[in-house]
Amino acid sequence: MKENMEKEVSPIESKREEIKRYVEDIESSTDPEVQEDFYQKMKKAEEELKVLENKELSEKQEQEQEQEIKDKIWVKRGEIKQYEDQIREYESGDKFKSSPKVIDELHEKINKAEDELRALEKDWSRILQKPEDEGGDEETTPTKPEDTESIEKEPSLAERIKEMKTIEHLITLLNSIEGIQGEKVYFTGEDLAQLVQKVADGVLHLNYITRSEGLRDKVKELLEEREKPEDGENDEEKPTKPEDGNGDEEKTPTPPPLPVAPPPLPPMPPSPEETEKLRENLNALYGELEDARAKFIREHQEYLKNRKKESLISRLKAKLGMQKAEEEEELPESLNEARAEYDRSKLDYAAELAHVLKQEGRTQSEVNVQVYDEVILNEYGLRKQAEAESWTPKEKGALRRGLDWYMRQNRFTRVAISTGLLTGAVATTGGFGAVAGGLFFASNYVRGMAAVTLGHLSGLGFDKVFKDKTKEKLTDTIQSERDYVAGITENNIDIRPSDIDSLHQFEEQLKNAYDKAESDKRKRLMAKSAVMLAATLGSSAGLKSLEGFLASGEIASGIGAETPQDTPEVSGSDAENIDINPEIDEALNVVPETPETPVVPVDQTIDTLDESGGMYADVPVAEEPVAMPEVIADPFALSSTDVVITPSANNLWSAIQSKLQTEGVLSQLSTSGQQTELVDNVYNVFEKMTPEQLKSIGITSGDVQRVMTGSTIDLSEVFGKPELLKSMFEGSSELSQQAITNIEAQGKVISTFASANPDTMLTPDLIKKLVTEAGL
Amino acid sequence: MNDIMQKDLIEALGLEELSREKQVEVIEKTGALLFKLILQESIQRLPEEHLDELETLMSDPQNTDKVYSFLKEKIENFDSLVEEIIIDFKKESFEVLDSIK
Repeated sequence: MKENMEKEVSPIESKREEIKRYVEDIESSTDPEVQEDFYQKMKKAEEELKVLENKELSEKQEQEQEQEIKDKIWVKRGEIKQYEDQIREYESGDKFKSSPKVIDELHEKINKAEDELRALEKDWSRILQKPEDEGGDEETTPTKPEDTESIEKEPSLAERIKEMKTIEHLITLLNSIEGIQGEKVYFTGEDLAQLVQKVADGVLHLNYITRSEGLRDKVKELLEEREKPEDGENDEEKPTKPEDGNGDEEKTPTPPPLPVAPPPLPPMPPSPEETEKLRENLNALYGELEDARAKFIREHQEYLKNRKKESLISRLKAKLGMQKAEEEEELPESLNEARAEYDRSKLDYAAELAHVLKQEGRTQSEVNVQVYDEVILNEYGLRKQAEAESWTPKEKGALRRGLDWYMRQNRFTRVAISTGLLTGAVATTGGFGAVAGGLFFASNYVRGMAAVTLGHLSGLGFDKVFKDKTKEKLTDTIQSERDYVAGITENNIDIRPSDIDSLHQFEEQLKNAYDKAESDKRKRLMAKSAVMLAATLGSSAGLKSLEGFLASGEIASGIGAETPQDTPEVSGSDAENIDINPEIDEALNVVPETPETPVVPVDQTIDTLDESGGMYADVPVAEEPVAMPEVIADPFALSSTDVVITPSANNLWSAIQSKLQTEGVLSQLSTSGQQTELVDNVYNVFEKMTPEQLKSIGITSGDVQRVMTGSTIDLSEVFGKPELLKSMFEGSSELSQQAITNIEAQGKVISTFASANPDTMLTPDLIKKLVTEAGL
Repeated sequence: MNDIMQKDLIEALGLEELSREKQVEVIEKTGALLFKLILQESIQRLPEEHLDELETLMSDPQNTDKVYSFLKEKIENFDSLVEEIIIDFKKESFEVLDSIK
């Protein structure tokens, strides 16, 4: 007895002892009835023993199974870690030569291993969910009402999450649940488990985890715990083995811990599945943005209809706070709410887009620009487009004409002015005049903007041209100017806001020196230098003032024109005594070369100076007019050859259409039929490409109808060939009226179908079917 | 208000870190949009009888000073209107860019 008390006896041992006692009792008894009684008891005990043994066996098997799963989980995680290490080694090229093919294969292995790991963790969670059985004896399981109640009252998910002690526990729990509703998206348990694992491995940012049910906070807490030095008493993290004999004490079996945490891995690009999930979330948010925008537009248009016609001044005064903001008070609440919701949606979408792009490895600048393009430029454009849809044909015609007028302005000037607006360089008063003047290319403004854009001229003063008396220095200076301007091509503009007065100063100095110069020769040379510089700078519009003073009556009327009043002194040089070195003279005679640029018709260049008088009479000029960049930009030389697939233009056809619209090419065609024809012509070039060709231009699926939102497609095959685009354009514009009518009718059929069936992809076969059925 | 006008959106975008082609593309798109915003506003404020005249002026790309003078004459406080539109645009742009830093 003492021994029994000292030593813990298992139920099976106890039952065996009991049976043994019954046997001894039977043997020691002489009464048959007593023997029979003991025999029955022994039988019963044997049955109970059998139950216990079976239970023990099954428990042992379960434990073995648990251990097996634990071991497999351990091995699988190790395997994944190994693959990740190998990928790092291949990518760094330290041990092995970088090989994309091998890296891809390793990624595939990781994906496969992760699938297997998930299955194992599911099995593990199933084991955890089994009801606890402390003694293996169902009769001892409490079934009192109050206990039942306590058993039935399950802790909430948030409470269960809160109780988790390790990341591994948490992952196991997540694998066992259906899912969690996030703020905007529903996450399945499996997805969450994967996300948590990725965050724990340093692959994804914590922000990926939803805040719902306190999950994100818990992950954060556990990660911080994990980074603390390990506590020797932290037995929960140690794997348990049956021989430890702790099976009964272990209430929440733990998966085997990971190996010692490796140094944080550089963020890996998300797998295709993850990318797809991210994009799905993004598209969902975009859908919300579209709804909010539509609602805001409706409310705004309703408001505009009902608004009293107030003068602009009173509105401006209200906005400047000079009178009560009656305007604001009058805004209906529904409009304010719609606006607030729209603004919120935009910011939400912007944040998510930025996040997705960063995950894809884009730099902050690339992220900024894409968000700016989609959330600012695109949204503004869509709002304004919606407003204009209700306009009269006359108003729409005026708008089209105006946009065409804008696009026909000198491209250099357009960019210069836009730069000034964006940088704020033009905001200083007394610079050029009102900003509005700039946007409409008023000459004084443009002149000033040319100075801003060609800002490096601040270093180039009058003195440098004339005081440097060596030919080399002068030609170096001039050559550097030419090189700089040569860099200012259609696709290569160096834009730096700088001293806005630089060009004014130069012009003033040149003008003053000219006026004060005594000899004709000097005037001639200065005029030549001005012409040469103007030509070199390549912007007739930007140097109107030079044209102006060269062409102005007081000078053009001849040599010896009166000196204009109030001319500032030429700083740092004595204009009266400029010594023109013969070598400089020679250098000034060099006609600048601009072989790439076409010669502009005379009436569009500063050759109007020819009309102004005799000062050019003695100037030996080249027989050909000075070649200058065209004043009117080639509309078929697009600003870039790429298109980006956006949620609003989420297929190649729409992206081409959007590009041609932005570049002002479509507006040159007067009917929608012609415009459709042009877009079709461009699209057909890419539709005919092989899958490999499509992949090489950025359509990774190899299928022209499957393009990923956010991807950049290189359309240089058409957009890089202005002549080809032009011929397509001409082909479209020459469509017969019948052809135009047909195309427009087809377009209507297709758009009606698309509106009614937004989820159906418009394949060429389907379009053909629709058009045929419509009899077109 | 003036502060917003003077703020550098190119710097906020980080545009100078991108290729020149991309810089030009973004700047051109912005300019075209701003012009469109202002043109739309202008057209809505012009009496219909003046639209023909505007279209005529804009049929010649050289008529830059004339177009500007015309709009200044026909639309009250035209310069202020333009500035207001640009300020609103820049303000919204900065808000969005700040939110994604």
